[in-house]
Amino acid sequence: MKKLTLVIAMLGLFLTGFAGNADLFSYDADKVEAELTELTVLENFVSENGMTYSDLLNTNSSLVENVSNSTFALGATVLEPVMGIPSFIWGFCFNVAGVAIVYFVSEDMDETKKALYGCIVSGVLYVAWYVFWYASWFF
Amino acid sequence: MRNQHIKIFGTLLLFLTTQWVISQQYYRISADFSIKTKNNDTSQQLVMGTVYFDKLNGKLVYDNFFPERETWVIQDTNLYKFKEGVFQSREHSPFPVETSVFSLLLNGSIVNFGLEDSFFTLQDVEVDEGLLISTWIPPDHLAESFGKILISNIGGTLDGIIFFNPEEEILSKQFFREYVNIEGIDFPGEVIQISYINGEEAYQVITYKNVVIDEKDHESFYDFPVDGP
Repeated sequence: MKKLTLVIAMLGLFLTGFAGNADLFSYDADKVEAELTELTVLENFVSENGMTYSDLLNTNSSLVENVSNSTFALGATVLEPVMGIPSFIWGFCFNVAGVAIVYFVSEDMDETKKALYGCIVSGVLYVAWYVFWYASWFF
Repeated sequence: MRNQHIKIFGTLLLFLTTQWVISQQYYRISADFSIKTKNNDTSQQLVMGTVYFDKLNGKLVYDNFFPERETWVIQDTNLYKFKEGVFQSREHSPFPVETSVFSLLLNGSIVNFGLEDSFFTLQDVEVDEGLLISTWIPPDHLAESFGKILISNIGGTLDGIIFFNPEEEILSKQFFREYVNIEGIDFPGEVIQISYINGEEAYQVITYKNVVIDEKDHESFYDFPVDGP
C-alpha cells in the first residue's frame, strides 16, 4: 500500500516537475569493458577449467599476474578487537567500563556481547570468591 | 499531453503493482555470479561462485569457487567466512543484506532501491530522455553526512542509481542491465558500478546467470549456520 502511495505521489510530482538529469545516467561502456578485459579473460578461463587462484599461482599462470586474491570485492573490512585485546578480556578485567569501551570504540554488538560475557563471568567469580571467603570465617 | 502522461503513469502504476504482487509470493533466489573489480589503485579482483538468498532468515550466502573455495555468509552487516565448513573470520560488511538486489527483488522494492522504507524522502520526479528520474534527499539533520540519491527507471524497471556526497559530488553510479524475466520477476543479469575515489574511477561488474526462484535443492546453504566465535 505504501508503494502505491509512493507511485501516486510520483504521478502528482511528475505533472509538475521537469528538469534534465538524464545525462548523469550515462557512462562509457567501452571503457568499462576495456578496464576489465584481463578479468574477463580470467573469468572465461576459470569457467572452463574450474581452477582456483592457488592452482593458477602454482602453475605460474600469467592470468593472475595482476590479480589479487583479496576479498575486498564486497567492501568488507576485518573486524579487530579494541587495541588488539579480546573483548571478553575487556569485560572480564574492567567490568562495566570495559563493556562501555568495547561498545563505543568497536560500535559492534557482537564484540560488546563478548565483553558483557567477560563482565558476567568476572562478576560470578567475584561473588563465588566472596561467598567462599565469608564462609571460611564460620568453618 | 496531460492525458498522455496520465496514461503512461496509469500503465506504470499497473505494472509496478503487478511486479510487487508477484515478487511478494517468492522467498528464495539462487544464481551463479561473478564479481569483477578494478580499484582506483589499479588492483584487480575476481570472485566467482553461486549465491543463495532466503528472505525469511535474511541470509545472503556466497558459495565461492574462485579465488578460493570459501563460503561467505552476510547477515545484517556481518560477513562470516568459512572454509570447508569451518569458521575463519567475521568481517564488517558496509552493505546490509536489505540493500542487496536479491532482498530488494523479493520484497518488491527494487524499483526505488528500497528508499521508500529508508530515511530518505522523495523530493522530485522528472522524465528526461525516456528515463523516469526520482530525486531522494536525506532529512535535514543528516544532510551533513548524506547527499542526495537519483534513481532512474525505464519501463518500470530500475535502470540506474547515483549517490552524491553532501557537497553534491558524485560518489558512485550503478547501472542495472541485461534484465531477464524469471517467474514474473525482472532480474538484472548485470550490475555495473563506477565509483569516484580521489578523482579516479573504480569499476565493478557483477554478472548473474542461471537464476532460480524458490529453489529447494540446497537447503544447507540457504540457512548456513553462522555461530562463529
